[in-house]
Amino acid sequence: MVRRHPALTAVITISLLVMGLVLAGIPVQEGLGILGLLFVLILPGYALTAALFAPGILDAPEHITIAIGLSISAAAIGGFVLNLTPWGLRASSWAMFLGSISLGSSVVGLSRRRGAPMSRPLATTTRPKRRRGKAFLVVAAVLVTAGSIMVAYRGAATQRYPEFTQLWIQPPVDAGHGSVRIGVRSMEAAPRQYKLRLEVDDAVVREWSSITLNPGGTWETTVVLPVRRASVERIDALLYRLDRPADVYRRVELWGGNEVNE
Amino acid sequence: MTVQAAEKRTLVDAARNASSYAAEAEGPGWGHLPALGLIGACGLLLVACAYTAGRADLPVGTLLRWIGLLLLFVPTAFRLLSPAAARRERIGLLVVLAMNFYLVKVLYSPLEFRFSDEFQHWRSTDDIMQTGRLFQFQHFLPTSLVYPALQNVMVALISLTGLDIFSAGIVVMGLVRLLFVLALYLFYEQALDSAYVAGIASLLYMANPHYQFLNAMFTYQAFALPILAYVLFIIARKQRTHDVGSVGLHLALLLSLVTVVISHHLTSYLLLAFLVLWTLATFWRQRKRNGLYEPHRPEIGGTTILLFVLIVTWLVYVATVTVGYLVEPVSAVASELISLTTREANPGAVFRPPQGPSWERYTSYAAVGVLLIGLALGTLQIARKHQRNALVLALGLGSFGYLGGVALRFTSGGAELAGRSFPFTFLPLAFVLAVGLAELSRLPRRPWIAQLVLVLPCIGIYLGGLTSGWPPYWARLPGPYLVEASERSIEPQGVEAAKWARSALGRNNRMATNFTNFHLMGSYGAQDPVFGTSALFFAPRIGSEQVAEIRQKELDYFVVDKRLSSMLPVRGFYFEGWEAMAQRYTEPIAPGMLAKFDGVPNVSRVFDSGDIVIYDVRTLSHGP
Repeated sequence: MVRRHPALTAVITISLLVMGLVLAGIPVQEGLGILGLLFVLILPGYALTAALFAPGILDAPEHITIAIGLSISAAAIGGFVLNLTPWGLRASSWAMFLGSISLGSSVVGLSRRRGAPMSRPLATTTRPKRRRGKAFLVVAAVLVTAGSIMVAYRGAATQRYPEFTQLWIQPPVDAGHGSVRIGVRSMEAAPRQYKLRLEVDDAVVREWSSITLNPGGTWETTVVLPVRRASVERIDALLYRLDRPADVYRRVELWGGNEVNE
Repeated sequence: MTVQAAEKRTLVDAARNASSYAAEAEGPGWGHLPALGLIGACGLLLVACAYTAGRADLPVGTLLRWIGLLLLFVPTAFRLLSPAAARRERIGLLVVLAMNFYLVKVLYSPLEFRFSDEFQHWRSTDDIMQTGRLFQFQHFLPTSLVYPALQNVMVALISLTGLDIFSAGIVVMGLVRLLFVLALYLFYEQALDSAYVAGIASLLYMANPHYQFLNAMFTYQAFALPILAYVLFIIARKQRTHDVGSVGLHLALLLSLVTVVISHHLTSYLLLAFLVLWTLATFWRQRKRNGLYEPHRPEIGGTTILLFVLIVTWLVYVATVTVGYLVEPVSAVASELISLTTREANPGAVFRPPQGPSWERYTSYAAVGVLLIGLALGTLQIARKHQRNALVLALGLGSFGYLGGVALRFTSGGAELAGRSFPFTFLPLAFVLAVGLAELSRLPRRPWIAQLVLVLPCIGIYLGGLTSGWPPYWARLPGPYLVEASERSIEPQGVEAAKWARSALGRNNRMATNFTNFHLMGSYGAQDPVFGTSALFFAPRIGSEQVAEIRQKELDYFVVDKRLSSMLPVRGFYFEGWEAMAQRYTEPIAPGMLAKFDGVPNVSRVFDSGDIVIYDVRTLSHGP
């Protein structure tokens, strides 16, 4: 009795789909999800196994092992091969390389299986009641494992660390003469209000009396200095928290000898 | 399969099975796998709760962790030591156990990498994603660039799924974990045609000190080891296949040999060493036996030669940097070992016992004792009953490599090498131990007490692995920040500083910093951190000598973490393992040493996040 081979047909279908989408330039990598994962890590090895081994030669554990091993080998060696090509290691070249392996091997595998008799599944000897009991245990194990992952994930996501605020100063890349870029980013636990003072050689040239940032918020600005850059020795930016105005919370400085656009 | 080949195979197998162990259960059932799977899942849940408790700094976390880890291992060990389990069930139990152990590592840090080695490979992968090319130079871990197999798989997966590096790494290492457990079991099974021995050997391998964490990290060694097991399985399988499927196995072997060579240097060298042993054992044992001719198996010799050629070719034409990377530490350790044997050195002076509570130290020592006894028993059984089996003979000889690992602990630089050798030396050792244990199972009567006696050594080895393995006792649970405490030092302020450096400073600036920020800046920061700068940090001020060193090293930035002065370094050093006071600190680094960059002319303080400050020293280094 001859049967079709849905698995190899699925390999061909998925391979053609992924290759087609990627080569058409459609940015679907993130949408490929599980298909992309199968395309890279499972399909090449499965197809190669079907092409290289006649049905019945390998038992299930051997089949799985060799399929995974061949997939890993295909990708590991494929990177080296693609590096020798003008296209390099990009989505399109990977799609062509791995897809070709999967398609070619699937075709060979299908031809090897043409005319092969259908294998009969093993007759089960367990009673229905016992099968239901085991199924319940399996489902329970999966649910508890999923629960473990959720517990750990939530614990990591909500772990408390000391809060902090970043302050930085940089000469901007494309600004005019004598300008600097200042930024503040809050990684505090609650909204904060800050005061920022900019000094040039200890003289205040600019002050922002109230900068409010929510957790994760960023404030940046480019400041054109009122004096020529060549005559400046040092530029200081001092950040204060409005709930503690007497203490310098963060401090950065830029020396005149540092690279600033002149 | 031809009739003649089938008959020949049957006769050979019958001869080989003459000494098979406890009557192997057959049948399609899954036995107790569902129930044991549920128990294992409960153990995993306890471990997850332990991690959550650790993050909240609750002491109950330690107890929960121990109970959870025991629940994962002990019930499965009981079942695998029972002759009643069918082959299918054994494989299922081992797969479930292996994946649960993998989740023990993943759940430790489910949001980001935390182990220093993982950052190095994160960077390698990121560089390839940026450029689309291999072999882009990087100071971080030069050898990882010339063994790009892991990165190739990662880049393929990321390119076609859009996953980030961390998520893709979890998937890839999970898949090779599955490959490892299956390949290892099947390899062991091929050796003695015994699912019983293979199950015990696989279980004991998973009890090695580094299986749960080091073997599961996102590193090229952890990636290559399953490929090694896969190669061994293919070779062993080929030796039992006469005609059918041999072309497929030949191609699978060729591809896997190439993969292991381009995956990791030491793994391929140690594989070669084992194949040499196997080849020698094969040609030595090739003789007429029981009226049957042992099938002539020259392929093992050909495979060994092929692997040698591949290794040399890769080393000469691509990976020459490996020589310098390996020669220095290996020769240093070798000269120390020679000094020990000639009594020029005192082993007690350099031996560092495992850290932690005293009961853990005694457990570690006891586990070594159990391993040595098991090694002796297993070796005896091999000599008595299996000396005509070339593969078993090779495994028996290879198991003595474990003694080399023990000896390395008595050198100053060998403790880490010893630790990194266990994943390899346990491969043959676990099999030899299983042979010894399986022999004990041939008792005529096997009450549950007898089975308990068999399980106790397994539990002892497992506990010894937990107490002497990674992570060290102070990092077994995630928790609040500690100074230079490996994974306990990875926290948001350092990570965000590194990300700022990448976006604001550009890539590949040469940076001087402490060990933790070295890895963060080198990975998330895409910078070029430089080793050997500890003297600059310990100098009381920036004088002409320090300026000269900054220029000589072409440093661009200093990343100063003021928390270093708040406590002693948990790992014993702040910057490099060879810094002047490493392992001998009695007080933290002085705050003044870290603040000396403030007010230095032409040293700009460009970033301040409270604890982390970044200084721009390009004017000092390169001139105005």
